[in-house]
Amino acid sequence: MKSQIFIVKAPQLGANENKATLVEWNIPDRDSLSVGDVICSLETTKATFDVESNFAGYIVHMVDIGQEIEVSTPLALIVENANQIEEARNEYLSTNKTSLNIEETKKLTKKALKKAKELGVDINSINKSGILTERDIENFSIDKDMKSNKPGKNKEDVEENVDGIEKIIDLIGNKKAGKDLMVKSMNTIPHSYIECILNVTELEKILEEYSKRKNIFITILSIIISASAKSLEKYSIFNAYRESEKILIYEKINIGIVINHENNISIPVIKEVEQLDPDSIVKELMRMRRDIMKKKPNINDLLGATFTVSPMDHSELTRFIPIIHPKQAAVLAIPKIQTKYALDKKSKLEKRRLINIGMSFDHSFLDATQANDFLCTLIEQMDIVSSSLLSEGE
Amino acid sequence: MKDDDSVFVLGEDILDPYGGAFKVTKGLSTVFPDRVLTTPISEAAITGFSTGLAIRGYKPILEIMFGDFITLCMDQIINGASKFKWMYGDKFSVPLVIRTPMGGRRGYGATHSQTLESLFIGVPGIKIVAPSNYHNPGDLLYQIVLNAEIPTLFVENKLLYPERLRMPDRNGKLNDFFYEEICHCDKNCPTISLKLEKNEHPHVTLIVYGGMAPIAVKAAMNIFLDEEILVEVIIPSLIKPFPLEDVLTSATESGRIIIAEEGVKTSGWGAELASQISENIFDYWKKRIVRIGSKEFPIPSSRPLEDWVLPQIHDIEAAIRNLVQ
Repeated sequence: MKSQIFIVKAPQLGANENKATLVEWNIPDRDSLSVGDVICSLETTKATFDVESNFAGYIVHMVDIGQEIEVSTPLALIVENANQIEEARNEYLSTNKTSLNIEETKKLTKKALKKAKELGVDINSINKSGILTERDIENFSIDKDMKSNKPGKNKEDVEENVDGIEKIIDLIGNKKAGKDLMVKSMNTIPHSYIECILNVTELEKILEEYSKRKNIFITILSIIISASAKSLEKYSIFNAYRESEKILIYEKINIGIVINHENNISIPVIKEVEQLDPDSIVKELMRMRRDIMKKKPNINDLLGATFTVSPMDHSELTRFIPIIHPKQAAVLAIPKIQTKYALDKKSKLEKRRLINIGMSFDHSFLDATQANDFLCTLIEQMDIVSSSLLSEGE
Repeated sequence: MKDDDSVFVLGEDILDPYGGAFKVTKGLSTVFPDRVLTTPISEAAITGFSTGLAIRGYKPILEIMFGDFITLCMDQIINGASKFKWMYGDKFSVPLVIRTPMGGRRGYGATHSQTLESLFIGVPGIKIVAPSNYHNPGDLLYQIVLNAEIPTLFVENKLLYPERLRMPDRNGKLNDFFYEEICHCDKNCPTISLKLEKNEHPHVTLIVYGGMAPIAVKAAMNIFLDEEILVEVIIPSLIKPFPLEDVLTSATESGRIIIAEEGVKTSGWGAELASQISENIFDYWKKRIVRIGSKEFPIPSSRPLEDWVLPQIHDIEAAIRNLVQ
């Protein structure tokens, strides 16, 4: 005769409780029990309850300890005959497919699933926590293709007519020269990056006023360069570099400015910046930029930088992490000035101009506290420089 | 109550062993028998009595058993408690906190299921606070009670009582969401932001409070899994005055705003909020503001009919789809 299966369901444990958590099994899986035995304990947000059995027989657990279950969810099956446990369990599961013990698979969006099927990507081989999106699948597919197309080859070994490569471009100009320096810098200098948000709303207004009055266009960049020089005077350890166990501090403050022109990077250097006022810095910058655009840079302009400022303020970038140049301690990142809106104290909408000033520094001999002090001083100095402009004009 | 002797708890049927209709005060009268007072069934009287306590320097927490009965306290609150501070020349504050459960979805019928806090939106001199299970309601109540200067309505959604608190892990993540506390306006009443992508602008800003929070979070997840639409869920705990600055960043980033509430849509919280937002950031509009609320009917006892009247998850999902397409 076929053994009967009894289902033990999670009871309603209070007028406002629709869920409970299983905290303990009092009777082990597949063990025998009699009527009135306490099967398990359930916990709600308010209290713990025991669930008693109305049947005698052998128990099959359907829920794991710690699992949160809704009222009426099956907790366990009870069968009359010990040798029919497996049969009962399988039969129950096959008729109630919605329940239990379904393996946790990766979460992905519908679009991602469609894309994965289209590209034949195995989603379990994607190494990303969280939900997979269509873009994740595409990126993974591209990575995979690239890897399979160039197994174990270095860039130098790439030959023409390699499968899947459309064309090969030679590095030219400064990028060719800069390549090794960049790689060397990344390999020898442990980079650390800090950043702070600076409100330049007032500063922009002051500069605009001043530029109108003096008929010379002063940029925020020139104020930052001027303030960097002041800050470097105070913290000379940033105007330095490390060579094995020694730190070599430069005598003069020469700041290199990264200029991007026709997809080529040049880093002209403003010499002895601490002695220049913002007007002169602007003039110097304009002269050097002109030389570069005419493709006749003065070779002396490109040598001897002790610190670098990398301005990307004309881009759309709100943050980037620059690489420190060899024989330097740090580099400043000046991204785009963003416009944000906030309410002022009188609940009026206020336009704020914000910039994320960042700095990469050599963590082998500088720490974040020093970097913080340096940046704070830089910001203080910007105030001082800009207020000097204000008073000068009056 | 341990930290401040002047805190009293008053309400109907709140003593042990019963412990209140929703068991919020269970055990309290055993620990503080002198400071937990059971009251007669007259909401107007006990509101007036509590206001008196507040004026005389106590910190009363009054429980109104069902939020629907707040209508009986209206005169005491509007013509009394909210105005005394001004009428008597700022000689005292009125640190009265009124706790009350609101909300439906349990089949309790027309007079035990409403969401009535929006009746108080236009009343000067009071504050409305509503926790969700993404806030810590205990901490929130503690801060409100100890720091209240003006009468404060503390609105609890019935459906949230059995829910578990949803708090972020050490990395600031709550399941797949990035959890962030925003406190530009009131440090005691944080606004919670839940995002699926940290560094990307949301496509839609979904503003909800109280009992709508778990529904909104589920909708945000469903819509992301279905359509990859990024929804930032903003859950303020301060309902009035509205912490506008807390939502402004997300609102300007997305430019598409949905405000969902369980109360009636007409002249509701969402209506006020939508006007405030459009007054301040009209320039950023990509689309219109969408309000979701309950329909203008008494709430039926029948669960299917009740579901039809109250805003559901599919209403939010449909609104998001419409707004983005």
